[in-house]
Amino acid sequence: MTVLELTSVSKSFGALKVTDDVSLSVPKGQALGVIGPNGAGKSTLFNLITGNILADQGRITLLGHDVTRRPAMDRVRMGVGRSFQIPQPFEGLTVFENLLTAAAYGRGLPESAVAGDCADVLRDTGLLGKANALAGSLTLLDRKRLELARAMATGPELLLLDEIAGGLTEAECRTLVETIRGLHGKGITIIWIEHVLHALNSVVERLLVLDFGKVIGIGEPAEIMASKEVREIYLGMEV
Amino acid sequence: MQVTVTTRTRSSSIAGYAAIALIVIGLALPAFASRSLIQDLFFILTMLTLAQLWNLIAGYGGMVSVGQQAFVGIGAYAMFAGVILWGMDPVPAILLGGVAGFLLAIPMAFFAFRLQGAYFAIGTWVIAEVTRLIIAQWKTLGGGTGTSLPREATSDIMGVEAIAQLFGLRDAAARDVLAYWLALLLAVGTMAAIYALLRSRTGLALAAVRDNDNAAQSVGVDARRVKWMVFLAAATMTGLVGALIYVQTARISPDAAFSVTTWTAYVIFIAVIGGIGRLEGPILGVLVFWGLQTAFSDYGSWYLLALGLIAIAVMLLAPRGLWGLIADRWGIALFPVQRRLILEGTRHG
Repeated sequence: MTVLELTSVSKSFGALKVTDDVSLSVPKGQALGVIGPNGAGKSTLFNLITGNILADQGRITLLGHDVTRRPAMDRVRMGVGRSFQIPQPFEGLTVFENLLTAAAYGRGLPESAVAGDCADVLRDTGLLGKANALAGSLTLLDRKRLELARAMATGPELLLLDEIAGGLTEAECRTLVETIRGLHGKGITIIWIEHVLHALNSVVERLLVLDFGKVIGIGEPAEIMASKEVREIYLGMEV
Repeated sequence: MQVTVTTRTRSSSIAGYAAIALIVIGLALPAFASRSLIQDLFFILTMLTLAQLWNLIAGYGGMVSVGQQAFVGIGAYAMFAGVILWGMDPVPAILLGGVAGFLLAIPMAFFAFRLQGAYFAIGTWVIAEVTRLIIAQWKTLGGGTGTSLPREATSDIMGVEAIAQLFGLRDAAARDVLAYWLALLLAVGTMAAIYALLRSRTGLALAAVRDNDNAAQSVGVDARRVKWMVFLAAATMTGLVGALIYVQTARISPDAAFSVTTWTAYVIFIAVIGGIGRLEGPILGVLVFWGLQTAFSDYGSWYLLALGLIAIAVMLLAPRGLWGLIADRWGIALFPVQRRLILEGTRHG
């Protein structure tokens, strides 16, 4: 079954084409990595999938439904969860309340029905001890964990992770990768933008390379990393 | 996982009983209080209600409006229109104030919601000024100079006669008692409604939208709907308060009813020094404000200067207001809304 399908999706900001005729199909349960240099349009691609911005051209279907013109909140309820590259917690709420909001609205259920599930997500992401702390008081690692936890709380079929490992120490990164691998093991479809390649390649089964808004390669990680074009563009190497 | 979620604190249980006791005392007060105390309490209760409503949209919703005087003014004028043009009794005419506040809030939100932050604040102020200028053209209601409620309307307000007999008061004092009871009803009703809202699922959505609009939408919150709902509700209630205030004063002019100083600057002062984003803040703030007003308002502009300096000092030294200081030091929350997660088996651990 296909979870997500993009057909010739394009988006411009003024004269700048940030997403250029992107087509992509992601089957259920797959973990897809997205790489590309800064400004390649990776985060914009995410925003198009989540509905935070709308596409100029093309078609986006989610679990067989056309969602091209649907706003972000509808897509969350259909099963798209996301983390932001720069953590955007609800700072005046506690960690637990952040999840409670995400779970209650993302799944359309009363608070009492989702409280237990929120506690489970907190345990899985290592945040249980900080459940009642204000989100504004968290360290970077915990903010990243909260991004992941809040996205998980919405009960996603498709989880979009935007540079969740960036800025973390090696040890912190390993912890987070373990968590993500655990989620993948539960059958959740994942699309993950990441510059920390070893972290990414230890989880994903397929890699997509973006440059100037275009897909310049998609396939098995080993094969993609070995391709001359990708090494030149992405790693800046003369091979 | 088996969990319990609670908002209750030890101080909140005590506060619950104290609030009920205070309401009962408040209702019985006219039996033994002086007329001037009843008038002071009317002032305190109406300013408290306005401050709670401003706190709801600004402190909890992040919409810093400087145009709330528009709803006070339009509410008051709607009540006057009901009495003068259609011969209504002033008390039921207060309801027209709520309707007018609601109706004005629709175009105001439509335009102002396109603006963010400081632009939103100035936008709401401009719309309030425009409303004042339009109302000042309404000749049947006194135009720019204003008008008074007709004598036959104020001498025959429903319920006043019964109150006069009950407490052995003259009509003017009985009118004050009636206005005071209505103010108490509005204040208690508003605070109870805001508290219930904050403890509901919508309360979480409101806080999420305030903290991060974009992220709120990304977890499924309909940010636009939440903002509209809260803004319209606050405008409706502000319109009711405005109408009630002018039933009591019985005299209106556009400059007074749409005064940005009285209905917004003072109201923001109350919320800021008490503590924004918490129900306890305006309660403490209005008492401080009333104390300052009683002691120093004869000093005219010096008084206003002093209010400004106090507000600046509080913002610098206690950014979360005086109640914020108390809450931080003693961990007291009289009306807690924070949901705390308690794991089964660790409740007493």
